[in-house]
Amino acid sequence: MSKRDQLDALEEKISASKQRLAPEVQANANGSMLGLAYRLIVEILAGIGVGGFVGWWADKVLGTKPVMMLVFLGLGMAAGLMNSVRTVNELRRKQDQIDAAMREANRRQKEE
Amino acid sequence: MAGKSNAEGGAGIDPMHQFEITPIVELPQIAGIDTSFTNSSLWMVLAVGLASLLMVVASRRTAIVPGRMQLLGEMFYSFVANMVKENAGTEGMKYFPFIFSLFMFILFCNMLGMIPYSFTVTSHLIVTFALASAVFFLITGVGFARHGIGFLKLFVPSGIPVFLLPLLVVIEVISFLTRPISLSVRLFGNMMAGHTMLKIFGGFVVGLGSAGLIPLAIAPFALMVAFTGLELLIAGLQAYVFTILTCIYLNEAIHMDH
Repeated sequence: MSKRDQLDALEEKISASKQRLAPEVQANANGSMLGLAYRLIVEILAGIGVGGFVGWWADKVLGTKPVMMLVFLGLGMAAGLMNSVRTVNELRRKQDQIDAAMREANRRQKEE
Repeated sequence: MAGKSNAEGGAGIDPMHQFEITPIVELPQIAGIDTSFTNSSLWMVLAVGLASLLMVVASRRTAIVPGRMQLLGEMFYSFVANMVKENAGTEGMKYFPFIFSLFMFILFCNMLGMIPYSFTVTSHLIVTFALASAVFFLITGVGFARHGIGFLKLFVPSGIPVFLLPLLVVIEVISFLTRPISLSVRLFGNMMAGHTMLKIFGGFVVGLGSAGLIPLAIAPFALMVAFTGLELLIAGLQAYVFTILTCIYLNEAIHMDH
């Protein structure tokens, strides 16, 4: 193999890995991870807050001082957790879509 | 809060002072509500005015080859229009004017808040909560108008054993009620935390600088420059997040799927 051929092979290798690596940087649907973490925390806190408030209000109306608040705090935590799990699932679905599209595009490029 | 400003002279810079509401034009109370025109009102009016001005100037002379202002206006339009279409479908475009106004208002409030000595309207929970409530009532109204009483099916998850149903319905209702809270707290928290942090680092720079320790003041100053960039990003990002969540909730109300 001449030096020329070796260089050509190297060139091909470089452009192949460039193609493989380049799209991944842009293909992140979640934005920053910090933003995502913040979003999930707020979701859980809002669940607890709303649950606590509903419980406090129900206690006031029904006259069952601590019971409803405890029950609804638990339910609120569950709601907050459910919301955040849903958010993550939604983001993962979107990310999967993007990944699939990227793989498809890469495959087509390679075939050409 | 006149006494507070006296105490400030000795105690350095108060990072929360920037969030204080001060009346500019004192107006009488109407039904127990203070109607004074405050600094918050001023910056809200400015945000609405500037956003309207931008769109009016952008659409005044429409050319096939757009000028600078037209391009900017079209960019905002297509950005929000794509967001609505992607997340709420073509039916969601019916509510485009509301969503676009919401986006522009929050974006301009956040960005105007980045100007030194300005007031950040969105750093007050009551303002973001009012915006989120508007969204909440809109999606509830749209849901009931489109599906009638069938909209309540949103709270009944499918494929769940009957004995678990009451529990899950309550959880679903609570999770629906958390939406305005999480929407408003997210925007308010981001804006307030960011501006407080900027003020604290600004205080470090001034404090160290005036104490003659100028080399030591360089580090917080460099951090402040970086944080200002980050804050600009967050100001745009939070307007985007608020709007895209509105679109997602609207999609649920229109198409009733999770």
